[in-house]
Amino acid sequence: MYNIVQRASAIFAFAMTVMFGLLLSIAISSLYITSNPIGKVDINELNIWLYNYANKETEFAFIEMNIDADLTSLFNWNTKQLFVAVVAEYETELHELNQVVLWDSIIRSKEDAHIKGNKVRNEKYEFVDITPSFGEVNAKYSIYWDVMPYVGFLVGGKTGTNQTIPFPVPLNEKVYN
Amino acid sequence: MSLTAEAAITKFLSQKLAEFISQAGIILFAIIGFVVGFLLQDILLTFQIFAGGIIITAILVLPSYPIYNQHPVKWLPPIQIENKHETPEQKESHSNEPMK
Amino acid sequence: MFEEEIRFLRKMNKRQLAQQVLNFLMIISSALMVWKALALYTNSESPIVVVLSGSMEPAFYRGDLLFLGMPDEPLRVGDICVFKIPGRDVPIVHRVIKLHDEKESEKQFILTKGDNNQVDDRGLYNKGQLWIHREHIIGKVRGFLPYIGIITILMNDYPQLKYVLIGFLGLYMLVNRE
Repeated sequence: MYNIVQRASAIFAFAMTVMFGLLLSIAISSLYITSNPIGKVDINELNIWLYNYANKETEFAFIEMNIDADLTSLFNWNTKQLFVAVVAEYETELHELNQVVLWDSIIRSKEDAHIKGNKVRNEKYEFVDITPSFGEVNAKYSIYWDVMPYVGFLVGGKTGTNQTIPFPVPLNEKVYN
Repeated sequence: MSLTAEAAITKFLSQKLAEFISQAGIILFAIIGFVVGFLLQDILLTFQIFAGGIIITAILVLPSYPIYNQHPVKWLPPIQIENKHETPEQKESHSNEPMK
Repeated sequence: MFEEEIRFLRKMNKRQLAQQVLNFLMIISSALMVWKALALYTNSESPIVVVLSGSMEPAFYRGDLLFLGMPDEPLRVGDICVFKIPGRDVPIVHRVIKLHDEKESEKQFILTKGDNNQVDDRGLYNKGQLWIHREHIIGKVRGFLPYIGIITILMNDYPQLKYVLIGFLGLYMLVNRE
């Protein structure tokens, strides 16, 4: 603390230390803010078409669904954005768990956090199994979200729906080139 | 100069006061920012208060106001023996003094 | 302002100079120790990474700092993970959008995508590679600190800055009085 430069650098260093404490307090405090997000997906329609995919006749599933979710309570002072997705989960003979994202959305304000989507289709993501055919499958659909903070920890969660629809047979019998 | 002597003179009364003001001020504004931001659920406000607090603290501490000069250091009078280390020019200037 | 520093360096005897150098080395080695301890604790070879691309915007911007951990349980869809494709230097931070757990081998087949990208990452993987696996994953993103890594971005974009900065830091440590 001999001259003005040293005083300024001492203040700056101390302010930085305090700022990390402040950031840590914000990060920890936002873990203790409670929320009750709710949401559900209803499947209206599920069709399967055969297409050529990597030189194999492959089943593509097309889904039409209604999404209704209220995630406003996830917005607190440390929420930068929400990533919301509809995830299909199913089990097949060879794979015990398969998870596929069908639809997603990034929500950046509390006003937009009440999501209502009618007749939403999986246009952005293709719904294909790791094998060319789904086989006998009953999938569950859920709404997944994760909270992106301004600073701190990433937390996620999901609300499930128990409605399952067995996968139908493909609408076309073979692919015509 | 030994290290202990240097350490001893770094803690003058006014320096102590300036250090206390700056540290207490910064911590205080961090706490105010946190509480206000949490209550109003506005993280931007927290950092505006904190930044404002740093600026206010800097204004209070950085310039050398008279209050920080209330306890000037009383140096010991220079010892005569030092004179023999002086360069000839300095000696000259010393010897010139009485003539003014 | 440098005259004072140079005079200070001249004034130091060998023992004091050695002490300053040792202090400097001590700071470096403790930083290394903290890094390695963190790597052990989080079970991730690189527990802190800086975001280098905008492919995860608006979640992560260039220069944001990410804290990684390696979960004991398998990865799930929606997790943001850092992975490294064999033969590439730079790891990628993207989100898992598709995943298949094979029964027999318990192997995970993972497909990723950047939130800001229109298509999935198969174009980024090696030629013919359709999936990534657990062994490619460096860690799962657990925590986030914005902007702090911007200095790394600058050093990446302007390599000379690295040497200027290291030189300046070293000099500062040498002439810094306790």
